Amino acid sequence: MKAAQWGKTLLATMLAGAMLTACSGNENSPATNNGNNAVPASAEGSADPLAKYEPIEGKKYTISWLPYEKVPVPEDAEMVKYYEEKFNVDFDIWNLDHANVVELFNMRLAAGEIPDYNRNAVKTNTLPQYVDQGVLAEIPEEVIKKYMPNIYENAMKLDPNWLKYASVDGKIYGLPILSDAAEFRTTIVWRGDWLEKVGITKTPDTLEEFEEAFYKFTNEDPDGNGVKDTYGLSQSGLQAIFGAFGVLPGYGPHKWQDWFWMEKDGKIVNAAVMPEAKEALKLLNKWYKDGVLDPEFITGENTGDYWGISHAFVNGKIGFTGHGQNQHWYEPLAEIEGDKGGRNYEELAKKDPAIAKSIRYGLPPVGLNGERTLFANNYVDAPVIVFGKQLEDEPDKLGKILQILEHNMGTTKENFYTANLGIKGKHWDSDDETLRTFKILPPYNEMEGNVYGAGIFASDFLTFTMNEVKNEWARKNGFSEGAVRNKLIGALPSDDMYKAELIKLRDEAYISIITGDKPVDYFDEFVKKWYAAGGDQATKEANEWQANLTK
Amino acid sequence: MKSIRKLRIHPGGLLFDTVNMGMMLLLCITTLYPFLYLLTMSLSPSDVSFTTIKIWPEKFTWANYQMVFEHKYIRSGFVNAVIRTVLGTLITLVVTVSAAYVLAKPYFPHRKFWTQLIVLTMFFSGGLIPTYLMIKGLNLMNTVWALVLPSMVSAFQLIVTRNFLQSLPAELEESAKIDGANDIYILWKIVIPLSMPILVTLGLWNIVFHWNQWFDSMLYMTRPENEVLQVVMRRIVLDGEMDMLSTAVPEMQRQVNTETLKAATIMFTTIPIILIYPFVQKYFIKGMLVGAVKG
Amino acid sequence: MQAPTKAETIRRKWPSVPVRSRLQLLKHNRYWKHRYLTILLLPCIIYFFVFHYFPLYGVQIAFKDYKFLAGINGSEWVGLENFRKLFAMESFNNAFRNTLIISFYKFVFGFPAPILFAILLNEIRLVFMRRFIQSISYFPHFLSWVILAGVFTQFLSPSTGPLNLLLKEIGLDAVYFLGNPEWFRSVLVATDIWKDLGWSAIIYLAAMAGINPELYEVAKVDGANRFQRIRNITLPGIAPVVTIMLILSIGKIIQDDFDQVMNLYNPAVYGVGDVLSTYTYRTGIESIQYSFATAVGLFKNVISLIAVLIANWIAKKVSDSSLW
Repeated sequence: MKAAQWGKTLLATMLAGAMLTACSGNENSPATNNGNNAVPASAEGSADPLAKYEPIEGKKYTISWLPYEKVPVPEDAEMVKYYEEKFNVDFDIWNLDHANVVELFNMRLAAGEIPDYNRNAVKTNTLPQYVDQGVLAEIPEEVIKKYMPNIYENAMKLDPNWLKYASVDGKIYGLPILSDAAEFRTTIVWRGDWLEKVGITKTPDTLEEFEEAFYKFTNEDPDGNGVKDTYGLSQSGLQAIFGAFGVLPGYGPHKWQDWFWMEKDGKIVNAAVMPEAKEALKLLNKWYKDGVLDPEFITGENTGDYWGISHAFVNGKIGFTGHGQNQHWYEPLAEIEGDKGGRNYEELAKKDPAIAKSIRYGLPPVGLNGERTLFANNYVDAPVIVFGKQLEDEPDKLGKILQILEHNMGTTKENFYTANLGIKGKHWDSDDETLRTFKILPPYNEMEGNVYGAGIFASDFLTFTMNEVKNEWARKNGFSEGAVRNKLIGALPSDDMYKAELIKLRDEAYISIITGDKPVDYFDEFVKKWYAAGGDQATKEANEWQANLTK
Repeated sequence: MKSIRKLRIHPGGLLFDTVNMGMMLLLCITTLYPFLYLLTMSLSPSDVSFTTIKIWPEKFTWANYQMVFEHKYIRSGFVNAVIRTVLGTLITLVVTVSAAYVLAKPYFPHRKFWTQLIVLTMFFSGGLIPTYLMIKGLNLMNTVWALVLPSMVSAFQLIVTRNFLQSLPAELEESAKIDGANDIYILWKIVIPLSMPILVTLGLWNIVFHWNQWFDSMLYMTRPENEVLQVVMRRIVLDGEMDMLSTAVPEMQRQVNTETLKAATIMFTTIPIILIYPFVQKYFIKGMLVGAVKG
Repeated sequence: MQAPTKAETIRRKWPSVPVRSRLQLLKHNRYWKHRYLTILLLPCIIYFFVFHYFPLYGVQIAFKDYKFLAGINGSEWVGLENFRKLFAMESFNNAFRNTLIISFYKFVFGFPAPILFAILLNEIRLVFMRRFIQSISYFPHFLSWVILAGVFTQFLSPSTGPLNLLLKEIGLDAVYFLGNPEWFRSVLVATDIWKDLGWSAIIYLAAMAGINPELYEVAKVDGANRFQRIRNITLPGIAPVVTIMLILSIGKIIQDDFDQVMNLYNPAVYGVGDVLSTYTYRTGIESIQYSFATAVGLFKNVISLIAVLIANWIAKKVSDSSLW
């Protein structure tokens, strides 16, 4: 009887639901943009296929614009108005919450809303799926070349495959952003005062010297408190040790290094399953047993707070770290007014300026093969600028957007600064002609630039940089030495199926070998498991991708 | 009455009380620990290192709170949060109690059907997209109604309220009925005064829900001045967190907000809701007294 | 056009019945008879239709290959393909198992905890102390797991955490709570209880506030001691609420706390800590697979519903109180 009652309820509600659905009409009609859909007349008869991309003189375009933003941009933000006037356009700025941008973007797509310009939410690894969904416009290479010549030339110089990373079936669907961080590898940082305390004057340079320093840090009480509570290294230091064996398996605190592919005998292989990694694990297992490796390497050196901080290092638990990037560690630079140095430097200085000053920036250990190996990003990284499907019907608008990008990022350094920082003399200023350094003027130095619209019309193509001084410092301190880059860029078709699981397998195996839960020989079993769980497929796809790229 | 009780305590009771009190205090200490940590942080200047735990500020400053109060969107967020909380809670109370009152009446036609219809919703949802389309279709984007209407009634709260109302003695209502009063009048004049404990509980649940809710504001509010406090707070607190979704790119930007400012922001969003409670708790007791006088 | 009169309407509706009797019929319609009650219920029913039943058409995503541009209704049906894909994955089954185990522990320890707490709190006689303790007890409910995870990582650290310092003090070995698969689930359960203890107790305290104090006085006069009073007055007084909460908790047996697990777990404990929501997050949402994620959601909901139906049925058999 109960069941019958339930049956009735279900039936009734389903009927009601169906009725409502039927009444709802179709919310899924493809987005028609409020702009003018007509193709300019001149394009029709013209022989030049690029002519239709020419923006129409005097036409006021309305451009929906999804920028990279950390805080929402008010409708009347100063820089929005400035550029609307300058380019004679209307910007409809999309504010999507920074931390949930992908989810919100997808929801808008589901409602049939597609932004014309999109510098957020799509990355090289998700691009193929959006293309498959049919929401992105194709951009011929010739058009890019014509409307953003400087950006095109510079980007192709840095990486000739630049546009291929945003291509699907030979068609280009986006402009990959180039990363300023790519020039430099991750860090090698030593506690200088500890080195001195244990009698090491030369910054360790080879694997043996690294090992010696770690053992001394552990056993010779470098913090002088009479208690054996220090370690040589923790999680982020592991990469350098693996590097000394010639592999970067990706296990570590930083997700962007997680999925690392290297070239071996002309093939692309995943570093995590290479026999060299087994040798490294053997050594790490010994260090773990000897108490040199911090047993808390599993949860990492950062305990909440800003991700770039290594609490284990700042709190004097370990004397060596590879956490974060050079900008998290650099020392205050005299040329930059009021500079406090990287976040870790700053935290250390709060505790004791002498310790901060003692930091030594080392090089990755010279490995068995005589080379230094540490992770560095590729110039082309995840984010891609993409354009809404509707622009295929409005090529002149696409041309207009490309012109705007070229103006802001490809013409002069001052235009580049204006897009990033705001108006010179009001939001920022510089003492020298060449704009090597700049300072943001109060009160704007205490706000996010987005609040007045700065930065939302800028993207990075490395035609210019704002970090000239810091980059010089990093170069001088050896951060470009030993930089090794991932051979695989973008996503493999099978990534959603296997990638997460393969990374999980790797992490579990590595941890259990290091801690001695499993014997070192378990590595061979792990390799078999890894290939069986999708690694085979991923390796095959990676090589196909490579073959396709060099074709 | 209380003094008489105290006189009668015997040794066994005393032991129980002591142990009981001890446990409770221990619980309080573990509970307060993270709060104290945040409070200390929020009262410290940003040049104090917080990489290890401190329980008392080394140096004391109000500067973080001052920055919080001066933040344009924290102010507007606060106002928006208060509006949605008050409006949302009132509407929820009215609609929930009315419906619960009806469903508590055994003679209401198809009562079981209606109850099941409501309970069923606890288990199925159409997901984000249809709801978004609905809000958009009803033109509620960027209005407070988008925050209030979709969560107007919770099936769970409705059932709890119904059960409470069912446990009330029926005689009072019956006598009023005989006097010719209609149902709405009876609900208002007789049932509600007897229902203070459940009303206060409902109120508290909903106040807290509305105050802490941020996801809907993120979905339906597209302008910064319309966002609620929690969204603004999250943005400040999450500043500098490594993007969970990013598979690549270590961000070059440094974080703008210091840890001490973040702590002050958390305290500012949390304290108002905590302050409400002792005030509301009085009504629990009052509700108990009302329950006692009946009859 | 003029609106038909009442008599006219009735004549159309019940043509075979004499007008007089038709009026009677309307009078005898039970909704008309309880029209005030009907008015009171109406807003609630409208609400559930607009915001719960109507959006249900979105559930079909689980059976479709969802394409943004085609929309929900326009996407292609794929039948049970998404579910097949789901169950074929070993990792899904592992996450499913973990979810059940963790929820089971959370239920066994987490369900009685707030009841016990409420009873003990109710026994504290100093009113201001009682209020003070209660006010403090629900503090952690307001802190997000992002913040709490940072606090717990430090609090439970094997080298510097206060808890392990205490363990070492009394001669025990330090335990790496967050990095040890044997301990991780216990940590999840304990922190979960700790976070919501005071908050969950509110409903029981409210129920206790509704108990007539005279009952206690009478029991006292009759010589009942404290435990007898708890057993014979307090517990029966809150029994209906306990039953509802019990039924609902059983329904939650397949739900998990995404924020908690996401913020506390690390690769060393993936094997025991990976639950359905974190699993779906990693494989589904990160790669825009809405159909897949919706399928997991629907699967969870169906299981919840079945669990609740069973629990409700049992509750009805045993104690006579039930959800409906």
